[in-house]
Amino acid sequence: MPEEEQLHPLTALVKNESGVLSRLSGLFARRGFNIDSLAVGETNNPDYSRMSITVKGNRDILDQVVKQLNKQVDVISVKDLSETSHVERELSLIKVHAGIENRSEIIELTDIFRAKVADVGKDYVIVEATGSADKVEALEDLLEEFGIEEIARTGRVVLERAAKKKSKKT
Amino acid sequence: MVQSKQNEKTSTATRERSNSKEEGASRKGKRMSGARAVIKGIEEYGPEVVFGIIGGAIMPIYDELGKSEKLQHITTTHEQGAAHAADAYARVTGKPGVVFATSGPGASNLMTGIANAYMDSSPLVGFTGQVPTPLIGQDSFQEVDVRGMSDPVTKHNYLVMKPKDIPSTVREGFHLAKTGRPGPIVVDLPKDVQTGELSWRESDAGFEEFEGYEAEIEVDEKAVEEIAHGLSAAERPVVLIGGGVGQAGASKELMELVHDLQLPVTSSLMGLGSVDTRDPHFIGMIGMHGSGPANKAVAKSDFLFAIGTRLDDRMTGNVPEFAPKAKIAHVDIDPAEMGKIVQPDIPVTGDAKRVLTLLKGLTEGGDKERTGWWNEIKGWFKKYSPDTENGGSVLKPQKVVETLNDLTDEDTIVTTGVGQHQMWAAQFHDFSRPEQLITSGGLGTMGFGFPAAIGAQVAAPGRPVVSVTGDGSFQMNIQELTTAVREELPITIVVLRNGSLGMVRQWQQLFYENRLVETLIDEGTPSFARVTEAYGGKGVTVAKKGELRSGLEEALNYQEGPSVVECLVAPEENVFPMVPAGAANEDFILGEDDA
Repeated sequence: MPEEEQLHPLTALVKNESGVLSRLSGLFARRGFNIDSLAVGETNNPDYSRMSITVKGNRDILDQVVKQLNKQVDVISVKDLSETSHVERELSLIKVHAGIENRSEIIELTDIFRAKVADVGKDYVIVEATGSADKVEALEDLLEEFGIEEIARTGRVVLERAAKKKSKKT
Repeated sequence: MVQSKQNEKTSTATRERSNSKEEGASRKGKRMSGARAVIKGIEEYGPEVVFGIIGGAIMPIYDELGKSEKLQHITTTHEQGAAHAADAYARVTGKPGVVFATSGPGASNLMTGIANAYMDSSPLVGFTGQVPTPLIGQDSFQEVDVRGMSDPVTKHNYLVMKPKDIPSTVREGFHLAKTGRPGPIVVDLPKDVQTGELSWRESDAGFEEFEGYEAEIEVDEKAVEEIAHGLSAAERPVVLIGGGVGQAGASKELMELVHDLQLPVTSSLMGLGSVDTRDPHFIGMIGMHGSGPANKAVAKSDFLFAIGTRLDDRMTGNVPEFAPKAKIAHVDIDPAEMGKIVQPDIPVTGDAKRVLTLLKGLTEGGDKERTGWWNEIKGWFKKYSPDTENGGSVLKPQKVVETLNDLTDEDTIVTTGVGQHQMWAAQFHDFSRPEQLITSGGLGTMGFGFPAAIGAQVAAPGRPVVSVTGDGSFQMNIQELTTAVREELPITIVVLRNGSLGMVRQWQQLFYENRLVETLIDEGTPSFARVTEAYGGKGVTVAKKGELRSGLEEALNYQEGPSVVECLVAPEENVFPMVPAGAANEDFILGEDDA
């Protein structure tokens, strides 16, 4: 029986150089890896970037993704956080259609989700939601009923919690 | 691996020497142009011979190349030819090959050659000219995104934007190309980076630690013990080798193991020669056109020891039916090969020589007769032996290769293109040294063989080099006759002329109800003997079996330049055994009627 396809969060430390993102995203495409989300940003050391990658697939596929990434010269380290305690966040900017009649209702929902109102216009509100992908999606679902005009999402970023035991997997 | 360590030592020595020599200037380094730094880098870390074609955006580098007393350059007629030649040069010498091309079409013409080196893990370093940095991204004349194009087919690549980065990039490039699992590197050099100035400090060219790259992976000795135990305990063991054994310089260790334990050994196309194909323990090549005994033995085996191979699809056939009864031990230097296609029971990442050396210590005295297993294998040999003798005076392509084999010795290097002739060369020629067969295994590049012969002949001037090719493959890079004539390379080209793109025609006959769409190419194909004469080489035509031996001898004896033996072979011959695509290896067919 084929193993169920799950989402696996990976974190990779890569060289912060031009061409690296293109090479690595090309690798996912040409090897047929199913990437659910990809987010990149500079780390506290400007020589490196951290990549947060969410891979869809079974164990064997995940294993290949980790190995193929590790093989790249620009990749310093890769770690599968599926079974490691980690923090996962996603930021979403949601432009919701809002007139005077339903503005307060939207703001109420925003508060319940501990989201923020980033901007208010004559007939719209931009909600800034941060949290797990599930939470962000739940808020999006609720806001849908007012009419979502546009959405911009960062994709998931993940970071390992203080590792109690160092996992042997890189 | 060991090589790289030695290089570290040499470079430290060089550093000390140059420091004492240039004294005051040493701290600031020696001023030079980027182009000179490229040439200096190749002189220090690369081969003695480089291949390529000049062009606008790489002129500064060629200008410095012209002044170099250490480097010899071979101009080819097409950049693809240069890349294949440099690839073969690397395979014969074990040193990285170097190829130059200009920007745009020069670089894009290299790509097939680079992809070929990538698929066969050959250490090739390509230096390409690029338009000046201010013009990048503007669709400038002869601009192409070399880095983007080469991403999928290189182990690593660089676009050098500052002259000062050249020394470290060149050194890093050579280090990457030849260590770990070897592979091609591309260094793209904008023209203003070549003409710009830098200070060559020895320390700039060095690197204490190469972050993100592990050339050597420690072998799990426990797993090797498991292999030793598995081999000793097995009733029906088979050893399966690939090109990695030869690349690791482990042929001797392999043959010792095979002899000590009386093991049957099979090989991929790339591994032929790393195992001596004349040895009685060799049971033939495995896979789509592998031998009956090899494919049967792997199917029946209870322990498969695969080493230095990536277990690719042409080798495994239908994966679930590959060695279905066997416990599989898989050794490869690339961790990503473990479980990529076949899930091994004992995965071992590491250098083949290291693993075989460890095994030797563990298996000594483990001699086991296994008479039953060997008798079974011998039975398959009787049943599936090919017959090249029947057919009267008809010139069979298999017979051409057999006769060539009779006339050459183990010094001879054979290169091939891709298709039927390649498989016949693999099946009917003996190979006893890893670099004796230079062929395009992974990418299957028609046209590889003849330019590869040029690279091989340049790498080994004293050795006979024969390019076995077909009428399709030869014409894909026939222009390199210019190069061979100019350089007076005594290459013998044996063309198995059957008037068709034979391997595809064979598939049409077997799987497309004999509809021969666009595979018959004889019309318009010139006399290769006369074409070669026109270029200034020697042409021989062999039309009958009776003329074969003398024709081959005449060409092999010709030493003034390239010679061609055009063999007008029986056009209907096909390659057998054959495992139909998607079938189990065991279900090979032996002829057209079998399909």
